[in-house]
Amino acid sequence: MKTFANANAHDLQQAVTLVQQTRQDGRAASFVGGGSDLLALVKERIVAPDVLVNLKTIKGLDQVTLTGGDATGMTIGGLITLDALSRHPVVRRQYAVLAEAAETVATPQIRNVGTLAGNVCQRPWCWYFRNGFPCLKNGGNTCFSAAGENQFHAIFGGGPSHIVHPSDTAVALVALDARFRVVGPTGERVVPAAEFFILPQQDARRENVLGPEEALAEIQVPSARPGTRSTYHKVMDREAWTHAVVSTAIVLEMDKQICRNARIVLGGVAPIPWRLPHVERMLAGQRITETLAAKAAEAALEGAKPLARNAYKVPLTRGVIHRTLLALAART
Amino acid sequence: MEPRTCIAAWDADKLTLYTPTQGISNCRTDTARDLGIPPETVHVICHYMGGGFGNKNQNQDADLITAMLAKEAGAPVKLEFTRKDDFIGVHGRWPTIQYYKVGVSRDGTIKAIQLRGYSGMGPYRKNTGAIAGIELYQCPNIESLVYPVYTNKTVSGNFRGPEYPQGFFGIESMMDDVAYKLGMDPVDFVLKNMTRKYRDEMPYTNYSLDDCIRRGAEVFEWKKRWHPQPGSDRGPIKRGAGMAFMAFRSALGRSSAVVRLNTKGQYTLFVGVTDVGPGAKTTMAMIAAEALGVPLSKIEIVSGDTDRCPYSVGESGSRTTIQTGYAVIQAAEALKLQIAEKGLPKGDDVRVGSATPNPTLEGKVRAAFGAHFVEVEVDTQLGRARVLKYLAVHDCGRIMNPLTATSQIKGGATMGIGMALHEDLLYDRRTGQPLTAGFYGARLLTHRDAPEIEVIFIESDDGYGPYGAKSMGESSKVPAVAAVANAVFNAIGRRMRDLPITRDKILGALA
Repeated sequence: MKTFANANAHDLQQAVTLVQQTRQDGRAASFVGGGSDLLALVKERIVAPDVLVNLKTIKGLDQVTLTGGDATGMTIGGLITLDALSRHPVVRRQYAVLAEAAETVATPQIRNVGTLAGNVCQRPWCWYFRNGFPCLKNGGNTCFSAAGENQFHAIFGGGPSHIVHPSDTAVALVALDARFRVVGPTGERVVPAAEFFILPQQDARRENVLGPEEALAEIQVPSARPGTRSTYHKVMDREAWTHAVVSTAIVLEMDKQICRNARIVLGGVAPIPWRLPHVERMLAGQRITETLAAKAAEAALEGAKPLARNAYKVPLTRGVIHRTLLALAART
Repeated sequence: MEPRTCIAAWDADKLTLYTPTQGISNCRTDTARDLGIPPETVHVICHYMGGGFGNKNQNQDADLITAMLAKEAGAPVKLEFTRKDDFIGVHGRWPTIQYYKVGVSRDGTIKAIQLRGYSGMGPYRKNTGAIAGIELYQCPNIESLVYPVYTNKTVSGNFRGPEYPQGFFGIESMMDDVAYKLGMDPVDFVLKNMTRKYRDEMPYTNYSLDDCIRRGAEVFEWKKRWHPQPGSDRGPIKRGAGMAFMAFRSALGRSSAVVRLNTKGQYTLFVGVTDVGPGAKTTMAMIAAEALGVPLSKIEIVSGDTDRCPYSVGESGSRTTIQTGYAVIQAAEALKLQIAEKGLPKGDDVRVGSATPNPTLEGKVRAAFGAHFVEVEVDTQLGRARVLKYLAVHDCGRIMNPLTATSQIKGGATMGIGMALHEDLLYDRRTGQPLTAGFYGARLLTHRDAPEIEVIFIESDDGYGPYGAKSMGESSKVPAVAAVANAVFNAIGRRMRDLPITRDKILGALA
């Protein structure tokens, strides 16, 4: 493993400056929160930073703050651990989808150190990328999965890279219409979740809009409208410590038996959290019956482009949507 | 779960190796041979190790590399593999392709079995590449053609029941199919056709397969859980039951032990064994205590050190208890004889008993027997197979330590479930590079994936081994894979021929 220096940041601006200065000196720098993903990448020699800019020393960035006034909702500091997020009473009560997504991540050990921002910005777990193949994600010109082992790869939005986005919480955050506050050398900006994640056709080297000197500082989630219920369903290859084979985050605004508004996002099927607006429209204003749920699940997989070894994800995703949607609608 | 490690230190021409090994004696002779030095100049020490699992019963490449580096450096050297190194640089179970043909009469009697099999050995041949299982069936016409082949994958080696779990998966999947084709209950088919004498010729020292299978079927409630029509559960979540049985070698052979008594009444047992996980040191001390008729607290044990301990056969082949355990009894008897002749030791004196027995079986075959019964639930929409109920019935002869014995059976069955439903070292076909090296990628079971496993022992004493103890460690994995796979067939009515039986394959088969 390559050696590196650690630099503790005391506020976000200083963190950005530290990264900027290191890069200007011709050395590589990385922001680090919990480090559970970054250190694995360093050990596997996928990345080789000279300086880690430690964000954990910034105070107050690990809190959930409830916001009032016009912009009601909550703001979540990017440094909150996945464990703390999943146990937070307000999150559990009003944003169950996020708490449930956080508690499915990896293992208790990783959830104790891993942060929300780190999870959202996690690098892909494609085995070609993680094994150091000279793939698009590693700066090469090829996606090895296209003609190789692609059991766990994308059925939507793939090409030229066919990775799937690895984050569970990102799927939930897109379903919650969250907004991402990003801090960088030119100040800060707020990016809607739908624009934060980017497809490989836009840039195959990265998974989101963050520039090399930008950090995800906090996440704003709008308040839940009355009658809102939500859930996260993750299909895993074992009971712990795997990424989603397929997952879905569903948020329903119910008015008695009628679904006023639905948001459905898939994980494990595309290079970004994959939202299904056409399916959401099918559900709006409807009673969610067995027949409608089946139709919605069918429609959800329209346009899927499975690769040679992942066609099973089509019926699997259909089954997950059908079942999760019905169970959530039936919940009282 | 310790990855390969070794410390090597030279003192002039004498080499000391601290290494996790399943056989200090083999490690010493192999290392001496490879370095071209006399065996007496190699000192192997292994007091504790993080598990054996089968392929540490030679000197390992890691030992040799460390010894050579230490010589070169003129200083002690420590080598430690990463988990990924361990997956790629150490030897896993050999993968196989198996083709079976079975001839059977209408009344369900097997007339002929043919196996053509291929074992992937990697770039050089470390072990046999055999495929076991056919010998389970009583049949006048057997042809077994097994071809070990070189591949561009990692080298294959011995791993808990080297040729068994994969071979049994093949033959018992095949025989399960035959039973369904005949319209027979697989349990009845097995009872009709299973081995009664080894290869139809040699008698077993004791025989309990009927007991294992009948008792298992009763306790498991086989008739209630097994579906005569596979895949007949309505609804997307289907249950099914499967079984598999086994007979596993339990040979006798040479090993040594020394017991010493001092004037304080303290006994010291010297054995060459190392503890690869099952608690061998405790078991050896228990056997000595029993043979000497003294409390366990009076026995001190010195083990895992070639300069202090006598020869040990090596802790592989499930033979530590049977072979070294038997030597412990003989050494204790020798000590008792000494005491009877010369009295208890006085002053600085000690009494020492030692033995290197090499018992034989006089034309018989010794085997441990067992049968596993499994109920699974398969979610046909999400493609998930889950074990709901698991019963393992074993005749391992006399049980020496019920707690560790039960753990051995549970551990083996759990590994079998992993092999059946989870674990895979997947390669990129174009580059030959492994893609899933490590515990994350290879999908080993976690605690949450391991079901409750019920264990029943049918104890026996065939008059051989230490108090009738037979082999145990490997045997619990042997029928596990086949039993799980047969249960999956019973649940969904699709024969899964490719391990592991993962979601993509289940959904593919049902599409």
